[in-house]
Amino acid sequence: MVTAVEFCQYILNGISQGCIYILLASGLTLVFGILNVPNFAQGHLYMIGAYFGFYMVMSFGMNYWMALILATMALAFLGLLLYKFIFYPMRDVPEVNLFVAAMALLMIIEGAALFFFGTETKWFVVPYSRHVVTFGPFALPLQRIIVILGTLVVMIALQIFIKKTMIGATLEATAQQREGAMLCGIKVTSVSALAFMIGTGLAGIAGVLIGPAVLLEPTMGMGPLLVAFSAVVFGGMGSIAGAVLGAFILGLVESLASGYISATYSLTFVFGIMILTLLFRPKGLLGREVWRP
Amino acid sequence: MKCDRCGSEIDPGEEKEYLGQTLCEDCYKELEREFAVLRHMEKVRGEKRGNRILLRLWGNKGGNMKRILAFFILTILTTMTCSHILLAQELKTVKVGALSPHSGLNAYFGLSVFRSVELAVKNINEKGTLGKGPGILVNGRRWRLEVVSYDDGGDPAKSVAGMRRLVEMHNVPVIFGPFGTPATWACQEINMQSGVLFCGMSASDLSRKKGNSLYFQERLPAIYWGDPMAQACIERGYKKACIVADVNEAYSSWAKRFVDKLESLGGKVLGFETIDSKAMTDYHSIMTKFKAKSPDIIFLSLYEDPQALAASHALDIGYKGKFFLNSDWGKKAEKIVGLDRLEGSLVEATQWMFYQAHPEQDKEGFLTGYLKQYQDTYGYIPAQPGAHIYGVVYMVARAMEIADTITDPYAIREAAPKALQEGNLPLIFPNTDVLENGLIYGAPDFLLEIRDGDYKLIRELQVPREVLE
Repeated sequence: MVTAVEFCQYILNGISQGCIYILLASGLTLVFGILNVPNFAQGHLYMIGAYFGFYMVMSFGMNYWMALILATMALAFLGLLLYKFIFYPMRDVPEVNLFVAAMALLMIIEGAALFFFGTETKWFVVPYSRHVVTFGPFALPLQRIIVILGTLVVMIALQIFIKKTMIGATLEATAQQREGAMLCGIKVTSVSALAFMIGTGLAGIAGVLIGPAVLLEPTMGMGPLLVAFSAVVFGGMGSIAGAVLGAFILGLVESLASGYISATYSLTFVFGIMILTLLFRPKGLLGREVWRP
Repeated sequence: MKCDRCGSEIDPGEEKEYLGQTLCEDCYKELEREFAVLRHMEKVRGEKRGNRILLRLWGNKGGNMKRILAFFILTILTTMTCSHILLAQELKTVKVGALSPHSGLNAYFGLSVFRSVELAVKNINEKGTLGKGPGILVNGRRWRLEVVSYDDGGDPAKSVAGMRRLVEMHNVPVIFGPFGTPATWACQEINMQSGVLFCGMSASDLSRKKGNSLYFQERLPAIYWGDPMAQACIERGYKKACIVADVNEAYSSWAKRFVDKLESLGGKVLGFETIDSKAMTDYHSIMTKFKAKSPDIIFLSLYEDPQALAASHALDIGYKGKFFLNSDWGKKAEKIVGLDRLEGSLVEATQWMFYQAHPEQDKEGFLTGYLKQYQDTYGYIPAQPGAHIYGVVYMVARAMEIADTITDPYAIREAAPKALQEGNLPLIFPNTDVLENGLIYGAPDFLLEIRDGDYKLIRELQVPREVLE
């Protein structure tokens, strides 16, 4: 017999899982919207962010929040380097080349992580690791609550940045029509670099936020990347609101399917629902026509 | 004019005279070549007088001096050759294979296996199998072992390719690995044909059943621990159970055996989830479902890290019951979850966990020594399979000595039980025999209970030999 308490607990679990997908999917869709590059390395950048936070906290004794800020900055800088040295020089090549480059980057990052971080899983201990917050019949680890609140703050800040600032407007303008933006005097190269930095920075935030709730290993980015990428397609390529909605729904579906049916088939439901939606709405939930030259 | 040797016509002025014979240019050149050889050998010497060349046998002038010189040179050459042979004897190597994943999801386990093989080989090369080294003594000469490895990435197809490559390119008589049940099954299909002895790192009963005369399996099939575990649950009044099992055959069949036994003893299984624990990062929903059914105990038939994660997530959502932890449970998992939060839980443990929890029980100190050396060398604690393969390397090396061969895998396999029965190897898992199907047998497991933040031994577990043969 399914109880309301059990159902609400699944919803809470789904929201906390969905938040990680939201952070990853937002970065993915932002980069895709501006550069038409499916940055498959997003999941592995999330892994790098988690390890970065781990070493800052566990090896250098840094404060967790400080590590979060530093990891975000470090990953944003890494994003800038990736853009400058890989994606910018390839800006005029066919899209399939960019696709292959993104895949290659994923493999390189995983190999480098195996080499530098080792194969042994690592446990990211923070003061909140074992704290469980109970409210009535519900229980949620404090770290998961931090993930939910952190995602909320970041997404609101991102929305304000895009909608209320001039730089944000240039991002949106470039995403809408690259050539048009150039004609208006927008430096699309700088805007593209900024988009890449924001995308990878979001991956860094996701890594440090979820790090203490999971075990760190070089392959930890692959699973979330698959769902986050599906969320981007599900929500509509290039749409941040669509990515957020898609990630949120897929997180809930995963949790509810694990609870009511079986964890073995939870991802089957996630991808099944995604395919069904795309059959009836090919642009995704909130997708727009992507302008192509 | 005709040549006295070959009978061919000679142009006037081209004739050569040799010992009263008239020869053509070709025949004379041939004689010159023969002469050059004889002169080099100091058998004959030549002297030109006017237009004539006189040949005569090598003279005896200075002969004693030459003999002394020749003796001196011969002595030096003999000494050098002998020392070279001795040197070569010391450096003679026999290659052994290591097949495991160094990359991918199972890299931690695979590298622990590979590095433990390296460590055992290093120790054997320095001290010998019985401490009378260096190396192994076969056919009256000392051999050092050399490891050639292959990274199969945990993919059974690559394991097969790796086995073939190690045999065909390096001619190894024995391979340590592969890691995992699927890879072991794949290699069991080809090892007889390739003529190579190998040790599959599998805890599956099907691997044991598929065993052949060139196969070793170091871990007892986990499925057989299901019975005593279910009995222990009933004895303690834990009659309602939920189970999370990895999709791996060894783990899922173990869990099913536990279910069958528990139900046959009057217990009840309220929930059973089979998952791919390598890909699973969130157990909250599974544990929410289990918690809603109020079980007395949750059996985690998973690898070490997923066990820790699953137990933590169960506690996160407020689960208050006990856990049954399997033999992959270790110190790392214990740190992640915290023993204080596992009061009353049960552990099915091997020497790996038991000796780490109670070092005083590790009377020979083999596990303690191995862990220290591994950590000093590689900077981290290995996974449990590393400790298993470490002993197998010693067993095989000693079997080579007993069988007096480094090339015949059948003879090495046949000598393996004797290597164990001697009782002189530094075995972390004190096995005593190798069964017909290749199963290495003898070391008991342990049933432990977590009480007051410590592991208490309930009893030793042993599977009857006849069940496994």
